[in-house]
Amino acid sequence: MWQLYAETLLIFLACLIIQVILWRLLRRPDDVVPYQIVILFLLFWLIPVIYSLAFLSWDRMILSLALGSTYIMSFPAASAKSPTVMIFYILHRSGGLTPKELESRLATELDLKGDRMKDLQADGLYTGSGKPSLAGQILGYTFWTYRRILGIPLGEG
Amino acid sequence: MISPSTILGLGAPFTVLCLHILVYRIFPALKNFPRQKLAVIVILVTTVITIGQATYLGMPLDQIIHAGLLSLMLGYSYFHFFNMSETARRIRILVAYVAKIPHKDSGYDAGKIYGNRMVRLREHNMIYETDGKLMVRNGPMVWASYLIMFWRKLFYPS
Repeated sequence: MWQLYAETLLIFLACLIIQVILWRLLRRPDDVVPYQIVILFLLFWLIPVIYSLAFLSWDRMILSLALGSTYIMSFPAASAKSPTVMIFYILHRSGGLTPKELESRLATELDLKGDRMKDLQADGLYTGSGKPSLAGQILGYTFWTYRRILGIPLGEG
Repeated sequence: MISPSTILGLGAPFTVLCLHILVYRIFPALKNFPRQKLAVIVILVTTVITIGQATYLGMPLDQIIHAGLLSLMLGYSYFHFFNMSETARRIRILVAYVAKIPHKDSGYDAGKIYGNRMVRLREHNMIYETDGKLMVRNGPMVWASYLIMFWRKLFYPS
């Protein structure tokens, strides 16, 4: 079992190194998040699956997929400059700020509304005419349905 | 071959989802409880259930740990999915459109989002104010923020 974990971790680290190289060498500034996520799935799901198939081991494959999923699910939050993460980072590094100072620092680091609308358009989830594309609507309906099944209102951001 | 501990771990996301729905349906008052905290509790309870099942089935220790770890990893992925529905601004804009929520109530107002997060962080006792200054408590979120900023520098050097 421990050998399985060691091998899975090694494959994960190898994929991570490949991702760093790919991102540094090939990523263009206008690459959109869905495109990046497709690359992540190819790297962190497909490579371990191919490796696992060589051993015909379901345990190895599922462990690799679970580990890959944790990384892929962390990616949007990490790459999107989450305000919560920025609050912790700025406050800890500065040793404390007044609420006004923090708000002003955040305003320079993040464009809380504009960024997201631009991102949505760049990602192909929003059209120029001010409404979501088909993919955007599917994503919107998925999360809306999920919240309704849970029985809780839309998150407050 | 697939081991029983892997099957148990694979069942965890379904248990988490069912438990999450049941908790909100049976105890509607919990809608006022911090939602992310509740999601974490549901994930941890599911992991305890998974470990309990593995122990009950008489699995060896390494298999019990394997089932628990798989449950935690898949639970972590579920938490991110839930968190996207809770805090992701892009998702919020899309949901607001399909749910036909009027623009002024759709919640992607920058000041409101900042205020909501500050309220939530204070409620969770992660941030406190002393001598007019906001301070942050050392803990996993601080370490995570440094890790994420390091990660950003690694992938987005400019």
